[in-house]
Amino acid sequence: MTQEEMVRKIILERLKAMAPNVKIALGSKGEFLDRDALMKEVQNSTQVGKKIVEIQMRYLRALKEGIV
Amino acid sequence: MKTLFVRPSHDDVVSYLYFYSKELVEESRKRNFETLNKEKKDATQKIISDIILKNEPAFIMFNGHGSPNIICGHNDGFIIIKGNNHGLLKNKIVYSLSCSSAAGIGKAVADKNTAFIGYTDEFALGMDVDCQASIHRDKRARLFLEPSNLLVKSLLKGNSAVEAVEKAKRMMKENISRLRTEHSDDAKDYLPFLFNNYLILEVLGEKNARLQA
Amino acid sequence: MLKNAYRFFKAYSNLPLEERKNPIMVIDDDPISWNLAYEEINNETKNGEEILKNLIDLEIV
Repeated sequence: MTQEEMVRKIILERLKAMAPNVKIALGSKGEFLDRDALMKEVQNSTQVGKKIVEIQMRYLRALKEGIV
Repeated sequence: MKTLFVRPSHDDVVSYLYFYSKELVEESRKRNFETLNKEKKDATQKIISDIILKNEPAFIMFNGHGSPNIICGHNDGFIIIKGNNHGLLKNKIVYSLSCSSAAGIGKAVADKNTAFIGYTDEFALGMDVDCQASIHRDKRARLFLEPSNLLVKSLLKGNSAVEAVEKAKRMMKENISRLRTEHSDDAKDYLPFLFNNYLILEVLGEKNARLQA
Repeated sequence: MLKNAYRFFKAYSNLPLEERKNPIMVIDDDPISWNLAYEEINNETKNGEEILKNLIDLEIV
């Protein structure tokens, strides 16, 4: 498994564990995306999906620094 | 001194920005700024360009979608385009609550007479689907938009651009801390996105620019 | 203690309590939470070694 594939799998599992009442709007899509829609974006490696992965990984890496 | 608020409301996301920015229009009026409010169908390039040229507002807030080189208005029509009419924003304080516009337009307009406050990447907005019908009850969206409102209120009070951004970031950090310690199922899910917004908010150009009513 | 495990424990101690229940790794298509990773690494299991190595490679710890 490449590192990129592993990262995507991790983020998908994290999204799967999201609470059902959560929705996020990101980028210029005029709609809020629920858990399933966010997962679809990541699975399809769309621009939004790649951004979600980037945001999640940046957050995870910041956790270890104690920045968050 | 004049302020201009650009407030489209054509989709679910900008409706939230529209709702939250209403308070800022009122605050601007309360502080005796001559307040120009262009909302919904009036948030178009023609109307906004004319208003800016005719009135020379000292402060402009854009609510809407965007990209590094574009700020959008009603129905995602282009209002400001880098390389086309971004010069309209010169010699002002501008706050653009739209994705990524600081990265392109912001850099292009920022100079010693212009402050551009905005986001260098995609702005994220969280919401609680259980409050979908009533934005004012959505405590999760509030965590994302209240810091943005505080930023503008700080400017209207006479704080400098950099002070206003610092206050907004301080509130974002407090909201992050609150979510970190909340024992609800959903709190942790908003954290990466709120942290994202904290990282990407920037002020470019004249950081000490301030408004005086 | 597994080599470099201290990096994991240091990161873990700073985590919000609810975050610790979240997945942080996938091994053989199985999601692994921070809490499970803690047990595996603390017990110096084979899984723990793999989890730790991956977390370091991904710069998560």
